[in-house]
Amino acid sequence: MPTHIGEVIESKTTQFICQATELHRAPDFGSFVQVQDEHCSIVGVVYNTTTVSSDPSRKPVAYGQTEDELRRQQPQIFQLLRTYFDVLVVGYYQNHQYCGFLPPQPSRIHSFVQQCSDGQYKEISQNINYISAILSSGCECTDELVAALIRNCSRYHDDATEYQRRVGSELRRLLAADYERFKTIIRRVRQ
Amino acid sequence: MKGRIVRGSISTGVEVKLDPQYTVEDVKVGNFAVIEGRKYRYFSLVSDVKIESTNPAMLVDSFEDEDELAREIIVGDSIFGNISLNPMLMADKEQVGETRAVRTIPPHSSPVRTATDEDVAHVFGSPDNKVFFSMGTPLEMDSPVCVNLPKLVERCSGIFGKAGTGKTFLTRLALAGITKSQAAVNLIFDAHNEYGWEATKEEDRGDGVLQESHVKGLKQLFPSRVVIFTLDPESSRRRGAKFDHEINLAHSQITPEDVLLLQSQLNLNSTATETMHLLSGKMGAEHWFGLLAEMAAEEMKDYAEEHGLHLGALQALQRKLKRVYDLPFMKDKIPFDAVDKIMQYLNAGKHVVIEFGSTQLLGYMMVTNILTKRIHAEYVRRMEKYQATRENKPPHLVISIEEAHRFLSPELARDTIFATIAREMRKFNVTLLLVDQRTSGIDSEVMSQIGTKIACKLDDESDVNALLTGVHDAKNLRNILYSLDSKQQALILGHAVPMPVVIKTRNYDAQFYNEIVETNYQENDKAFNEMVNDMYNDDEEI
Repeated sequence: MPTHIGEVIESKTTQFICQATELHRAPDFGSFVQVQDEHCSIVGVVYNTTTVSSDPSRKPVAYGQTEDELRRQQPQIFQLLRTYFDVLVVGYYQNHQYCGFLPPQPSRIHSFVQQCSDGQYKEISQNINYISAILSSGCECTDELVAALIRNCSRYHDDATEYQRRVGSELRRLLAADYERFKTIIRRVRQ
Repeated sequence: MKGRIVRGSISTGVEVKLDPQYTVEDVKVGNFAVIEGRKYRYFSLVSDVKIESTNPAMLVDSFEDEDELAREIIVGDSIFGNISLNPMLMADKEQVGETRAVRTIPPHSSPVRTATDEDVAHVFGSPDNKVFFSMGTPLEMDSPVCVNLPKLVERCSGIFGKAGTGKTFLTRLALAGITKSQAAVNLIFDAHNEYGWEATKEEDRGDGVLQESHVKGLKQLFPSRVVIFTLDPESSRRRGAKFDHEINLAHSQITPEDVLLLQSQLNLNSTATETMHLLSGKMGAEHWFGLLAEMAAEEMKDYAEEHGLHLGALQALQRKLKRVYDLPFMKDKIPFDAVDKIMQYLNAGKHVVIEFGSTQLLGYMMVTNILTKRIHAEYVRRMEKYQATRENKPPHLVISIEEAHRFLSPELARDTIFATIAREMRKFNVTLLLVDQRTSGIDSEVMSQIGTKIACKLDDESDVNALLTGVHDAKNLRNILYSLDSKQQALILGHAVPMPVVIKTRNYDAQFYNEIVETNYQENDKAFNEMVNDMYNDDEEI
């Protein structure tokens, strides 16, 4: 069993917020993670990472020192920092079968969050419903997120170009009325 | 080419979105396409090719280098080839049967494909040189497109196109087909000596240099079935062309109506017309021309006074008719009546070519008119007799005339015999094959009577309009007509073909001769070889 990288601390059907197990060790922007539940395993994509003080009344202040110096001289301040990451739900596994739509129940609080394996990446990205889920989510920087995800996923496919074309066609269909936005995203896919 | 139907109506045709792997360059106007509906298969012509997109902003995008992926995604799918098709015929998919005119359209997203050779054979039939005669192949295909010869001769037909587009070759093909199949007997007024005996053909050897070669005439292909009459034996001899008979016209055969046809050439005014009719009435229809032409000045003065005619008008008429009188084939007396002889041949199922040698237009028009008028009268008489007795039905006659607009112009169409034939002679078993480069010069009433039209390239808009008068879906055919090459391409539409089709005209060459000639050279060779073998065998025995 792979080790978990975070724990769910806030959950709803479309999104959940996790606290990273280690400070600054959140999964990459635009990577797939999963939450193992009783009945199913919910899959989502990381779209935002924040590191803040765990005590809202004590804001971090600038010390003018490097991180290493600070860790030596004032190690306690790192104990007060927490890294959180936000995940957008794109699908779930049930009976080892991936479904590219929202799960019937949200993930439970305190469930552990894990990175998806290479095999899962391939399987999940095969179902291109995630594009429409992201575009309609209304979360921050959706365009960047879509582009990052396509870049990541195409690595797991034998014919990356063909995969990019396929996803691009779906994107074009969804953004039929907004050609400029389509082009902005596509330009970020292949640099 | 492959695609799917995206929209359509029976009045405007259907539109096809090309599959992404094909571009608009893969489709050409006039190509032949098949739509596979659920119940029916539709045979259609490509009438327009367009570039379309789902979003207008895409069309103006120039796709920089960095947009390579966007280009790959957009072009072909969102910017796509849109093909307009004209469904012409439909056939049941279940059973291979007769094609019929379309009365519905295929359902949405029916697949569309380029027609195969089997489809062309299904629609146009396979050549048998009896009913179906191959005129060429569809563009970019090898399967023959056949015209239905009995249907071709059943109504008037026309071969049109501007000079140098291959009208003559198409006419030669059609005439050879009719002769071979015996669908009708031909009477050909060969103004430029192109059909009877040998003619020259200019051929591009591929390096831009035109090479002249000789092609066989009908007489050479069907020596026993074709008879050549000439009006200018000198010219025939000079050209080394063989002819069977010489035609001369007697003065007694000229009527005022015949001269009237030459109104514009002879510059005749209405007074001259009236004077002619008066003279014909007073002197007799058989004598007026000869008498007037030979009348001396004094004699004329007396005659004018005696009959109350205007001397000036009489003199002017004589002066103008002098040109007719001086035509080399005009004789006072003639050894035999050419019309009787021609009728004999036609009745015997022989095809008659009348060569004009170096005869001028004036002579051509007059002879053509006079002969046709007599033959027409004779045909009417025989058909009426046949209707009474049910015996000796005269064979179907096709009269081919060149420079047809000279006989069928709107001003003349009421007076000439050709307009009468075009309008009603189908009943009397006579039809016309018009060969012309100026369709706008032909009376629209006559044009509308033409059953089958074979059109080479026409540039002049008025000619195109005239050609397409009364044709269904003229707008789309116009595009096709304008897109024809100026060589070896033609659009066939009308009675003899089930649907309009653009063809690459078949070559009029040795292969064609072998297929069409009455002599079977292979049989001959075999017989000859057998004979030679026998001879040698005999020798051995000796």
